Amino acid sequence: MLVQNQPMLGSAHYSFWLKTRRWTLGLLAAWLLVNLCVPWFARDLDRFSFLGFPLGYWLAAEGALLVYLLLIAIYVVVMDRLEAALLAQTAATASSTGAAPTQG
Amino acid sequence: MGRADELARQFSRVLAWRYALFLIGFWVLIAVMAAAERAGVQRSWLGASFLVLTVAAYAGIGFICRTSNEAEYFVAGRRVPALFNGLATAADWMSAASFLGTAGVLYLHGQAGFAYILGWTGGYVLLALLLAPYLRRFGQYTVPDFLGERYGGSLPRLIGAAATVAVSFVYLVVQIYGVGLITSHLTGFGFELGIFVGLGGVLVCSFLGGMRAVTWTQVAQYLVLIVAYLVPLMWLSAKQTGNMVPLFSYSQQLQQVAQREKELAADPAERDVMQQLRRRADEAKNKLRDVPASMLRDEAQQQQLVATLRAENAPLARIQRAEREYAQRPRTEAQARLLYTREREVALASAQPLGGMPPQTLAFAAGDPAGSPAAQERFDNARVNFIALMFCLMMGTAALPHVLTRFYTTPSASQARRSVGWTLLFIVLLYLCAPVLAVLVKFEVLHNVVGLPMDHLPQWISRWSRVDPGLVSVRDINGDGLLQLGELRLAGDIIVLAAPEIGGLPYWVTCLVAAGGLAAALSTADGLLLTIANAVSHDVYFRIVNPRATAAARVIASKVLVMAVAFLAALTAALKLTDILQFVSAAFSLAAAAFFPALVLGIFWRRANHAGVVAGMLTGLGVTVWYMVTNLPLLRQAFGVSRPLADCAWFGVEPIAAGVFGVPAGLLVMLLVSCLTPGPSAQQLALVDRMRFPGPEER
Repeated sequence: MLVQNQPMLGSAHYSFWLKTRRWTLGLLAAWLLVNLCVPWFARDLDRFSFLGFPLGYWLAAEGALLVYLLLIAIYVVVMDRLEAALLAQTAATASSTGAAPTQG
Repeated sequence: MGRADELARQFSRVLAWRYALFLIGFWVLIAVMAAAERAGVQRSWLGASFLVLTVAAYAGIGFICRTSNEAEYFVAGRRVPALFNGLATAADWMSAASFLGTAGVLYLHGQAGFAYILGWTGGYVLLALLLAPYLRRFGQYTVPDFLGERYGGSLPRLIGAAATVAVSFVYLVVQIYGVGLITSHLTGFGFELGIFVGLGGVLVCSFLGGMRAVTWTQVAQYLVLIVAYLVPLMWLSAKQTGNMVPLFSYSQQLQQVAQREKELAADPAERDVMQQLRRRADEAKNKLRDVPASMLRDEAQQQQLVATLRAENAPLARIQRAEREYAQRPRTEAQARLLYTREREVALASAQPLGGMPPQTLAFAAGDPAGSPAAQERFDNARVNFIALMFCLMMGTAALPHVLTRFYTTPSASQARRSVGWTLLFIVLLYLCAPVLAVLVKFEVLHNVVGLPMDHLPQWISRWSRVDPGLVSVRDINGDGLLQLGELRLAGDIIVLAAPEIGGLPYWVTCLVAAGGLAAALSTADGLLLTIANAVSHDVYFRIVNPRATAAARVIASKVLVMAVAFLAALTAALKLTDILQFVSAAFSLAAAAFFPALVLGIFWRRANHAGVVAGMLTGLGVTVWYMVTNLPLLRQAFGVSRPLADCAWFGVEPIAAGVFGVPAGLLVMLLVSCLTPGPSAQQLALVDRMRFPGPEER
């Protein structure tokens, strides 16, 4: 059952997975940066003011949450495009023979 | 596919209409309650009808959605649109603690509370990027299912099922405890009766309709809880700032709070209270030196006080209070020792400036990066603990089984990704408001309550302290007849519940908030109940004990277990083991250590194998539990740990964040053992590929 459902893995799949990992890693890096900087530099950020709030306070109370939402929104759009492109490619080459499975 | 898309759109439209109707009905209920209060209906009636009517609505939805079909029962037929799954997941995720507790933590502990806000929202980025879409494409029924199929053998599945049950059960007991508290406070029902009324609503859903009924009730519960959170907030804000949407404009309130905090810190009366409290702490310390003698002395003093009050013909309330204190005196030496120790701790904690609450605008207020070496160390320690707790909550959030299973119910992987986005949006809506509520309540307390004469305190103080002196207590410590901030003790749990009364809003708003808290607790309890029952019935009974069980038998097994688990949890909650509250945050550490590396590596690392995952999960859990046992006072006592606490802590990290050690340890062991043992089978590798790439059915 599982093996029957296998997509044919070729260079299109290889580059899809490479791009997926790159995007995932990039977005996670942004996520990590926010998570480390906002608490670590809280006192230093508080010297600046944003909308009347100390900047560090605002980032932890509102800013970081909006960044999280933005990261997921970007991921949703990017992955939909990558998957659509992969599906279009595999449909176009459906008649050709599949290459050896790629290693992730 | 065009036809299926059209059907899906139609389904979403129908759902939107139904929930719009539900929301209108809810507003009508609110309007009727507001009118009833003005007409002079008794308060307990108001509370009871609010709670009973909302629970009846949830039970009604559950009854309409009853099913015995396997796919419907376990994963709601996998056709829940992303937006609605987002609503349901948000309700599933936001527990009584999120709803009632978050603003309270921010009120009491200032910016330290942001660790919860950031942790509980940032975790959804991990969920969206690393887990949800892949698990959806895997497409079975539970989280242990994934472990079983990806790694083979029954051991990963069994460890997964055991961890699921342990984590979810602790969490479930706390939800039911919350249900009992809310219903008993607002209706005058007893605590136990409150539990069973609430539980009835939960049971009708999970028992009759499984995931399908739970999903559609959770959507309704989200609507109730968000309205209940926003109404008092917007009202308070309009009263204080003239602006209904305070998200960006409450900075002026924050500045005024900071200003008032400075004044109070320098206030001589407050300093006097601090001094008196320190003296009390010393007294308690002296009492602890010779407990039996102190008990006798205390008893004589209390008796004498009652006698003098009676002789003086003092107000009845004062006599009654003295009599109650006498009646509740400790009877054994152990009780007395506990009482004196607690007296000392409480006095010491309140003997800090601002009643022990850090200034709202100062991060890591415990220390000072430019101060003495000790202050610098405290600052660094606070900062490290903040980050450790935050990451722990993030990984735990992404790995909680009852949240993960919700993403099996969407129609596709793409919808699962979207659904995480919607979930986070709906959760953020509440978490953006929690700091605002904390600041508005603090403004009200600092400006309008502190400084009042003791005999003219607002009604909510006496009302709540009658319910439980642990929630609100007031004592004129320096005897000047005025209330100082150091003399008022508020528990974090009632900040949200009492906010409407603190702000002078009508009583029906309090009932509304309670109904919201109840919705938050019930929706989470529903999801947890089903997750536990499915882990046992599906992963243990069907996959291991009796693989030939029919689909119908599996559904029946799950239903029986739902009943059994619900009663077990209710009985545990009825014991009122307050100690269990400490373990809620522990649940996040345990979930993170058990599942996070196992799930993420299973998807992103083809080489991960059976031996690696077993070793990794056991190591992660082992390290986490070890750290808790050696560091949590309660567990240290239970296991007789004698090594000094200071030697047990690593980098000064609190046991609540034990997962920051468990996750990396599990990850490392999993990498190591996987590399040293033969790779996964061809079938398991094929599963990895199937999860990574969209299949033809997603075209």
